[in-house]
Amino acid sequence: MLKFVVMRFLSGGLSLAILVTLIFFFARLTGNPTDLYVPMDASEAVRAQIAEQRGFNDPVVVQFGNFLADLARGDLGQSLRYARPAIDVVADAMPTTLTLAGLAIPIATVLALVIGSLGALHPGGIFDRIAGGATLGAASLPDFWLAIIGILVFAVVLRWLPTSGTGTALHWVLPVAVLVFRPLGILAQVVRTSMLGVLSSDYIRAAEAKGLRWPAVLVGHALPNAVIPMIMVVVYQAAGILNGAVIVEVVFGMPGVGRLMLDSIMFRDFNLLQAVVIVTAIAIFIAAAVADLLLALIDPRLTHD
Amino acid sequence: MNAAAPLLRVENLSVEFRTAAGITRAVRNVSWSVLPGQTLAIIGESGSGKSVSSSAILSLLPMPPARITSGRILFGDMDLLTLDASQRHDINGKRISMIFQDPLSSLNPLRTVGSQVVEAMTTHEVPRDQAQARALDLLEQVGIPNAALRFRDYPHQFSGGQRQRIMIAIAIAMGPDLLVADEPTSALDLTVQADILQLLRDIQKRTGMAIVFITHDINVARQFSSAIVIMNKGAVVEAGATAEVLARPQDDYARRLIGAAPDPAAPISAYRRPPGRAPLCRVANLSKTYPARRDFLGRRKGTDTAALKNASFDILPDEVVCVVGESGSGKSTLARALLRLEAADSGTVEMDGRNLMALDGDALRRVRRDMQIVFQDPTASLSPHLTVEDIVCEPWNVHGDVVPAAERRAAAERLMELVGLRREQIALHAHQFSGGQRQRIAIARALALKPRLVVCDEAVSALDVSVRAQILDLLTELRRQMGLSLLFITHDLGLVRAFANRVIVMRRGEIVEEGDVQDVFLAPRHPYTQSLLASLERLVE
Amino acid sequence: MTETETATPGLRQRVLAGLAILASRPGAALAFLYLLAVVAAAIAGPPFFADSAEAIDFKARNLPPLSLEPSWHYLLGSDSIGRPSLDRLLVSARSTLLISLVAVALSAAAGVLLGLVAGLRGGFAAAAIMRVCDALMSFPTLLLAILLLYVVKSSVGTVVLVLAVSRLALFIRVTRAETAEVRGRVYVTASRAIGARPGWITRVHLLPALVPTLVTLFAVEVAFTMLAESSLSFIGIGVQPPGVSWGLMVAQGRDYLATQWWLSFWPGLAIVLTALSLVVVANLMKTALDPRQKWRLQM
Repeated sequence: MLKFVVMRFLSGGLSLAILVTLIFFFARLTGNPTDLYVPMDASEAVRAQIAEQRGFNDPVVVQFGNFLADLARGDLGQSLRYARPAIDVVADAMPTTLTLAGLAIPIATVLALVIGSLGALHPGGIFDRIAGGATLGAASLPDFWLAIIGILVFAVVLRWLPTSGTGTALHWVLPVAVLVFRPLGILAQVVRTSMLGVLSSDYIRAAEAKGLRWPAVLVGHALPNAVIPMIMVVVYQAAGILNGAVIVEVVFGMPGVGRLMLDSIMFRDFNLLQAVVIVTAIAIFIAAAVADLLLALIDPRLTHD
Repeated sequence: MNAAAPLLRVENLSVEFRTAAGITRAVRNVSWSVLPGQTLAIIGESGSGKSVSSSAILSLLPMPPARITSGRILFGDMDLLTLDASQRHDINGKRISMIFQDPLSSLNPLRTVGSQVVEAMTTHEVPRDQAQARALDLLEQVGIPNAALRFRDYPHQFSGGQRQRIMIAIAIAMGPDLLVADEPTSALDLTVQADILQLLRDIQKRTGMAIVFITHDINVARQFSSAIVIMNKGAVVEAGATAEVLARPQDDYARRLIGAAPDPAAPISAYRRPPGRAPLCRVANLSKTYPARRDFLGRRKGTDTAALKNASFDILPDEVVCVVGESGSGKSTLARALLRLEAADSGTVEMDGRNLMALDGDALRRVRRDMQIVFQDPTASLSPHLTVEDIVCEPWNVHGDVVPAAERRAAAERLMELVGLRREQIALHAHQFSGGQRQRIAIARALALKPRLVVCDEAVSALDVSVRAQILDLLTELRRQMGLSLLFITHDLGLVRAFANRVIVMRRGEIVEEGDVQDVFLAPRHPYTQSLLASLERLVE
Repeated sequence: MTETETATPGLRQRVLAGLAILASRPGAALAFLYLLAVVAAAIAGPPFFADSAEAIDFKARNLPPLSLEPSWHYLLGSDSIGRPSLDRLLVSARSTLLISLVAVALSAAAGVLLGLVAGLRGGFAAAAIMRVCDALMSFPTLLLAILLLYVVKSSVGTVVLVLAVSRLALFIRVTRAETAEVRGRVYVTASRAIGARPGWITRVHLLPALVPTLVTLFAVEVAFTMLAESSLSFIGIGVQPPGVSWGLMVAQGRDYLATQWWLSFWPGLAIVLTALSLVVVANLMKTALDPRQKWRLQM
């Protein structure tokens, strides 16, 4: 088990290193950031001074070396735009995104388990057909449109919910609801397929032949087996929200990581961009590691040889 | 009439399956009964509906698509088809239990075997501590060594035979009156099969439970049951005392089925290998090792598996050489390495004096014409995307010089007739044929290049008994007409007796015995061959 | 001659059989019809409606949907400078559809080629291709797109390129996995035993097995690429004005949500319906193109 965890961390660290390198050089390709930080009428001397001060004049390789050295000390540099340590800016934005993911993913998972399982219990039945169409639809709805329709109906017309901001619990209802849709649609399809396979397997018939009551068969035998293929998909979807909630955060005016990422590119705030990417990558990596551990705990075949 | 009242009576049971493809009447007006303590065998081929009526007893039919359209199943004075959930709970596992064909998939892979045995009792209100003690006792009874230590192991840590023993422990946990055994030994090796049947017999002697034994194997039914029901296409065609029915079957189909079963007393082929003839194919020191998987630091996980160790033997022209062995004996690796479908580590295969291992490109393709293969699963070995014409003509399309393009269709039609199919069927796709017909198509393809050696890798194992006999007859006939040599790979010892000229016995990648069939059967030298033959005897006596 | 026709039905029979299948499935038929309408709009939209879509008419500003005055052009309403929504929708269909189609076509062509190489060759080339694939997959699509679009200045060409790159990994993976799976099938082994060359196996056995999977994947990917493109345009880094796309229309209408909801609603709905229809039709094709599954449709 310990070996398993160590291996997981090693391979995760490797992808992280590649990601960091790519981001660094990619971001440098987007143009000289000095222009964004000086007034239009600033003299060449002032420009040169700022560029020198920030290290933009050094060869890219030297900049990368400095960056790595700083990174090793846990220093992700200053955000140009906010004039604060980049890591602090990200840390401020993180709770918003984590809350969004932390609410949307469990809700989607539970709903998907219920909808997918109910569909699989009576395949081809009325519920299955309606749920099948609905989940297909949920998986193909673009979130920006969903967000706009949500605002239109619940905020503009019905006036039940606020349009944007983060003040009260009500502010979270629409963003979370929008974020639930796509994962719900995809997960429900995954659950239905795996549940169908599990329910027709021999060990379910054997459990019924033992005289187990149906709820015990379902909870004790069918669900654990049906959950296995779902876990990795849940992580994928969670990862999607951790770095892809851009649209929801923009539309609902939530100060999360996604919006920070978009802003940092728009304002050519290199250090901030690097910090955002590294922090979200670590978050995703932790989520994936937790999923692997969970899988290993559920399925004994993974840890024995 | 017999004084004892039947334990269970199936009366006029009809079951339909409704699918998009249409309605299949899986079981039509089937009636049979079993007495307390009796063993009833239900015999039939695939699609005969033999499993359907027994699944209905425990309400295990998938509904939908299955639908019971008529009949009753009386257990005492209770109709099992009308039970509600709580009455069902009092029957399943407690009074009637069941074991299944595939022991690999009938245990939940995520739960310890101990918990699965315990659960069979706690669900029937046995206190947990009692259930645990009894579970341990049961596992010992069914012959799991070190039961106490292995209680918390998971199903994948047990062999197939052991898993079936665990299933039996679960089934007898509550001391049922009736055990339904659905092909409980068909997926197991010969030696294991004999042990499991012995175990069931011992348990029955001790507990006096009745057994409904569903099987396709007439020899197993012969020695294991006192009453028999023979089913064909969803209907009972004959029923009665086992000895009586098997000795004097009245129904036509029953007669054919019983006739097709491998006869344990069939005369052994009297073949003597003629001395001094040059072999068609000479295999020398053929070896193949599958390396253990490596983790990403290159360290080995587990050990290397030697699938084939120094195999050496000859095949003479016009000879039938049978390779027998249980699962994991390396017999399929032998077939694939011999044909160079898989690279051997070392050794040579000489075909007419040319070493196959040293050839490449066109020279190798040239030799391939002389040696062809027929696989076990005819469904998997025919492309679903091609018509039968394209499949049968594929060898000629690959080797353009054998038959001129314009004559290929006519030649393919002749081949179809040769293997017992109609020429107009050549326009169909493989999935429109039955299993036996598909195997005929695969044989036609193998014969297209007029090979001199055909390797049959378990080529009849997936087929029903009566179809199996027809395919064997076809092979015998083709061999006579075309002067073929056959390398026939099988796990079925019973088949070898009448069909083979020479026998090669394999175990764990090694050839342990080789000889003319009468020598191997009548005077086996190696202890493993002796134990194989002993198991065969226990199964048919 | 007649016999060959029964074995392989002609084009006419195939079209008729296809129509029969659609007729028995109202959902799929609707999806199919909708897609036909979108394609028609993409072809005929710009030549017929380009002028009316851009015609500024202050008399006809802010008309709500279902307005038949001053003309049927205003059926779906109009914006604050009087441009009719319906006409703008029809004109934008071409670029919206073309961007996704071209992006996925590029992605599929490159992905299938690389996937075949990785699946058939093995060895170093395969390992290298798969590592690149892993890197692309671990990079979130949106982030990748955002970064790329800042390296190269935003234009229709770059949007297409970005979308193509972001879907490349999937085509490589699917092709490689399917290739490896088909290569392990018994009938391919049988073909090797006959002495068939790799080219023959690829042509006769591999491609027929690959095509249904790839066609289905293609349709689904067009749907998702369309969603991705509209997301990019929505946050302002995809198609730039004066270019047009449905995603851009949604973004432009967002500021008028409280007063003229239809400006965002219709293009959004058009995107949703297109994506949904593509997925539904893809599901149907998956079944129809598999010879073992085809019978399921014939009832």
